[in-house]
Amino acid sequence: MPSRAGAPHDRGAGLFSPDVEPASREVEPIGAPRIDTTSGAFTTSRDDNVPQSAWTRSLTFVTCLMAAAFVGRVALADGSGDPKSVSKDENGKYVDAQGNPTFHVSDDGTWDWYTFSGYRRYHSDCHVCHGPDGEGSSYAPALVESLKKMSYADFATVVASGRMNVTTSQTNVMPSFANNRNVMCYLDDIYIYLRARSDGALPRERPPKKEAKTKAYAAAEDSCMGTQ
Amino acid sequence: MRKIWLTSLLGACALVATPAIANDELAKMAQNPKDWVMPTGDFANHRYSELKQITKDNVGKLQAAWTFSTGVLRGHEGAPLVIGDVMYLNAPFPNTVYALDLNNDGKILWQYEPRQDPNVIPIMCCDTVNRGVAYADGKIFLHQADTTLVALDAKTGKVVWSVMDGEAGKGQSGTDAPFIVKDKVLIGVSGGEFGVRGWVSAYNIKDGKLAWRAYSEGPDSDLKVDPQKTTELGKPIGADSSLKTWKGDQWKIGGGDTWGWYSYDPALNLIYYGSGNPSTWNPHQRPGDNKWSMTIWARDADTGMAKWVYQMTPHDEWDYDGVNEMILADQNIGGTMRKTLVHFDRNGFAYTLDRATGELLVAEKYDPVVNWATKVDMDKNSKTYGRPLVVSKYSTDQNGEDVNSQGICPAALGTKDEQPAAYSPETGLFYVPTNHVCMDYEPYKVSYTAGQPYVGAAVSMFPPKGETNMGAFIAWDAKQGKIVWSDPEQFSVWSGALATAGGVVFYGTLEGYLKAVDAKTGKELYKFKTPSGIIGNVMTYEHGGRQYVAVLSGVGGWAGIGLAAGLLRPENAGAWHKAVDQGKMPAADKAVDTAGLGAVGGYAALAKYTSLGGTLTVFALPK
Repeated sequence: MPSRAGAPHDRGAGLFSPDVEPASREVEPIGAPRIDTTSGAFTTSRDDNVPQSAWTRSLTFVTCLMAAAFVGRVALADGSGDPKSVSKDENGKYVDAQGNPTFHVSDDGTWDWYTFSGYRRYHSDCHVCHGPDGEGSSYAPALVESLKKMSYADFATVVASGRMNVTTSQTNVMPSFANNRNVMCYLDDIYIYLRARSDGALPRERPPKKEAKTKAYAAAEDSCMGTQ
Repeated sequence: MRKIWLTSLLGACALVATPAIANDELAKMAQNPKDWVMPTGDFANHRYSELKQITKDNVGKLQAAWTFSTGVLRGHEGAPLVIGDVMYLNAPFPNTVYALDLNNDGKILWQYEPRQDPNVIPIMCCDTVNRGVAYADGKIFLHQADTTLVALDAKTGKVVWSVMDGEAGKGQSGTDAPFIVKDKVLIGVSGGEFGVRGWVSAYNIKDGKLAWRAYSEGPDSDLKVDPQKTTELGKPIGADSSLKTWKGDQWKIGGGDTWGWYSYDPALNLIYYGSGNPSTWNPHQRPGDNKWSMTIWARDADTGMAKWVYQMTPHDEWDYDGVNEMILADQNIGGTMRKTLVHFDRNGFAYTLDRATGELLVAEKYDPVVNWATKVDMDKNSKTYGRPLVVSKYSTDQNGEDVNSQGICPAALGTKDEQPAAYSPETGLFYVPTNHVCMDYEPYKVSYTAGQPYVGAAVSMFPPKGETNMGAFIAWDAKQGKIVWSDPEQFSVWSGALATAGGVVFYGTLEGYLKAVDAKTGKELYKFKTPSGIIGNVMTYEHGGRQYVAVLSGVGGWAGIGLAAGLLRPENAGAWHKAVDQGKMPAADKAVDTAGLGAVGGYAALAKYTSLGGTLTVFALPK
């Protein structure tokens, strides 16, 4: 298994879009209005019509992660360490020795459900800016490179809070997805998929074989999406 | 909605001098081939110039005459205007507008940079592009990213009036070029991937007051239709034609956005444009025909009332937006001269209609690989008259949610996107920049949150099976519905074309080449590599006795996002993975490169050919 720490920054990001160092970003707490410089038109509006205990749990979970990220940002972010999976929960999610979500592929090429689900979710909401397969675009950085440096907590924070990076020639802005169930309910799925891509474990392909979606996963999904 | 009224003294003076119909002035100006007075070249969207100093015999000697940087590194769609001694052009976000002095080596006469909330950037699916400014009545009109329409004094750049058309916080944004008709300026809205219900707004040129607004979806009053008088394929559309084709209130977040090009027929007094994809991309979630997304609209220029409509892709299952330009040309169809409208749709069919009545005359594939439908039903007695006959295998709705429908051609990019085609009255041919890309498409359930992406399908794209080129530049006979010649290109051709009386047709490529080809044969006569990939539209003008050809470089847009890293047929990468490493884990680079070059055949990444830019390059023959 290739090590990610210190991997050469050799592909994608440097060609089209400047990759953003985690230390340079603006971070805002969840639920705060998004950055608003002129019009006042961009305040967030939570859709509170749907009962959502799991949704709330998901937000709480991310808030905790963000707190961890604030503490952890003193040290340099270096990815999430060794991706080797050590255990699997009832949802079908694998974790590494540090407790970070991670991918798993069996000897016969069967991928964990989360990697597959993350592949699908990435290629809807994420790839319209970050390009196919996490490879980057003329518009946004290559996440296969970003994840070599970003920890799981960093990743969750940026997805929930968004970030802005202004240079003389470009204004790169990632929105906050904190209110978007299509992203937040699948945060771990997307992370695990991108971790597998970033690690070189998964080529640029749809995972050909996958574990089944578990009942526990389906129940959590329905609860989070408000479709139960 | 917020409205800002800023009227300068100069603006007030200009108001006094306002002619009753600015259109008369503009129509007259458009007759002068030395100028390029509107983004579309003329009201008919021909993008044809009578200039013929540059010919097919001398174009090989073309040289770069001068260049100008917009100061922005983003996708540069659109093209400059030239009016007399001044060139007007604008940049992507932050949408800086420049007036350049053609008598003084392009010295900046004035520039205008609006203050916009940068949070509009991430709601602009597919880059912060802008397709140009418009001119009328001494004013330059800019449709900003945040949906503000602003009128600037053409002499000074001062704001005459400004109005906010939409709400960026709800995912609504502005990318299209304003279009001048009579005493009004028209703009549409972008946001099909954010559940934005599309509309067209017409503002009075003189004071920025909203004259009318017409939606793509909703009740008849919002649509501005008459159930009896508005027709589709010759029949009245009836009451509640849109509401009946949506489940519940879904039309309120139903898309049908209007971010493409507009055209106008002064004799019929009709404007034409197309509406985009229904939201979400998951067709299963929005049963019905989803009217009037994916529709060609013909509206009265004064009142906005629809005369006729034609829905090309009922109940879209592939993201085949109908926004591409409507080119108005009078053509001999089967022995009779007809006032036609020609439209190259994302769905891969090129349509020729009678633009007075909306009668369908021709509908043929303009890329042979198009496979999602066998044909458009042309039998007037058929129940499915005018509808595409969908192939079940490629129906993402019939296959269902959570099923990956494979090998659909074209991809969501369409056989052509917004990059406009040109028409030469001299050859009678249409010159069409095209994509040659297919896709897998897997729809699934999504929930809607205002201002957030509302996509609902995973899409992966790749070149057609066994082929390496991902684009072509073609000449099309719209009377017969046939390709006359086709020049393959390595990447999608994402630049607008220009046809000229010199027998030369121009277009740009994603690698950054400006190319000149013979209008009759397609033979390449000239190419020059500009600083960045071209997604702008080629234009021409004459100044000081010389003909110039100009184009914006600056790779980006959907092309830059989709093609930067190269396209790979997923099962090929997987096949390589299995055959070579037998389940072991290769380094990412090795996996990609070997799969790309070996099994697939070298679909190189665009990022290996060009980098970000923002430059205007102006060409001329040597003195």
